[in-house]
Amino acid sequence: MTQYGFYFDSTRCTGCRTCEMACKDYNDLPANYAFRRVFDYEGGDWKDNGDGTFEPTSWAYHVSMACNHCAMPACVANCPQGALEKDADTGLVSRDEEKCIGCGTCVKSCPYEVPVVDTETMKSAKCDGCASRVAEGKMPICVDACPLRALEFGDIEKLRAAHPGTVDGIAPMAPPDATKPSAAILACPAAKDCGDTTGAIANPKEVENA
Amino acid sequence: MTSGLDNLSLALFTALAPAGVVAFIIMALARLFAIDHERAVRIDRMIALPFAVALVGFIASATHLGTPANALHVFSGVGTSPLSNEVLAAVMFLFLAGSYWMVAFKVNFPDAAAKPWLLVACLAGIALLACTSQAYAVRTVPTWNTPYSPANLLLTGLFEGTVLSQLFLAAAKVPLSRWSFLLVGLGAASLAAGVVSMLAQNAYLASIANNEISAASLAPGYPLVIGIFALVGAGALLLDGWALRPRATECARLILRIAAAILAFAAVFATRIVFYNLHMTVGF
Repeated sequence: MTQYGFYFDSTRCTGCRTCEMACKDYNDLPANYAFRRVFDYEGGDWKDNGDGTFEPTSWAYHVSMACNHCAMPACVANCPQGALEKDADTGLVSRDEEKCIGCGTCVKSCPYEVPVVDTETMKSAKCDGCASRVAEGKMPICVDACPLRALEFGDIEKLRAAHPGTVDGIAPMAPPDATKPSAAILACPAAKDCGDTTGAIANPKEVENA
Repeated sequence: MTSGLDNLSLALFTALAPAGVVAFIIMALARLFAIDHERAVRIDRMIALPFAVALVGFIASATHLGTPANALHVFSGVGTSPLSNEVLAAVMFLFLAGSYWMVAFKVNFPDAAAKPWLLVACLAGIALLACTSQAYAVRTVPTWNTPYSPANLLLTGLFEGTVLSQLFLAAAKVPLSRWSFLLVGLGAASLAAGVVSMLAQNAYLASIANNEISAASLAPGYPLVIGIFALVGAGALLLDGWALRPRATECARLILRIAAAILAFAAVFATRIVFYNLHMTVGF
């Protein structure tokens, strides 16, 4: 099996949200949730130099994150309906609309808060890696939309080989050992490790899927 | 999708179904060892009560489903998904318990059929308790994936079940015996063990945090709820103990036990709400 996944270059991302909006437009998503979200992770303080001067130690960076199409997806493992499936050829995780009962177990088990139960259809919804576009040989819509070329998509092992020094998670993402995300992230100098407590998500309401 | 309503429906389920199963098993034991046929028949009629408690819990749990129409696919996950196992166990128990109650209305219902039927229903009930207690072992949810989740569920179910069973046995006009004292004692032991387990859980919460939140911040009032659980639970046991006075009339006994059952349910329900509020993932 080829495991597809996203490469995200956090040294390029300016947090413009074009990926997020292109995805919402393409998938015709309502205002209250998104499949791809941009997290603003920020921290810092004023450092007292002790001589009457102060220095800012503030830092900020963006993490554009859709579904990580994990190697060990918690949503698939916990769905009581078998409604979430990992594609045998691409490793992309998608949801079977017929089987879903909207119980929200995927929402509760995903450490990246990716799946969401749509309040109109009352079924779960999530990023499927634009599986139909990928089948046509195209890139996911977010990748094509990014004006900074900060996103790439493909065989995750090839992406990792093509971009040396990538990691599979930076804060505020969950530690990768829980689900083995198929993500390759090039960390910017400000980036913190997963589990960091020196910063905080600065846009919690924006990234909250409701 | 983490609305309060969801949590309430699941809190109701876990405050009713395990207690219903425990009360069913206690009534089944009373039926299996009933000394006269008259009493066995009275228990057979009233075994509908614990069955109804479990059924109401099961129905409450279904109200958190967005699209229940496709729910039968749940059986495709049996063996792999803990939730599928739980639903299968619940359906088996409710089917066996409900069908037993209905068939027991036959005038000639031989013990040779009744006793194995009840035993199998009890085994299905034990399977339901086991599966419900395992349903929250979700690796990515550190606040649920602890030994305290099954321990609290089983201990509160045992406590509330013993209290409910005394009401249901009174409804079946089963006279007092040394077993009545044993039930109150069992209730007291499970209440005490439940309080200890919850206090240990509350201490353990301090060690859980993710990027954004600490587990302790999700339920700042947990020590207070544990206190309420202990006091209200002790109140229920006191009423049940009061009902054991030899001089108490049957009517007084029934009223005391109804009050005890309401208190026991309220005490357990409060702790279940906290449990669902404790949800967080290892992420953010």
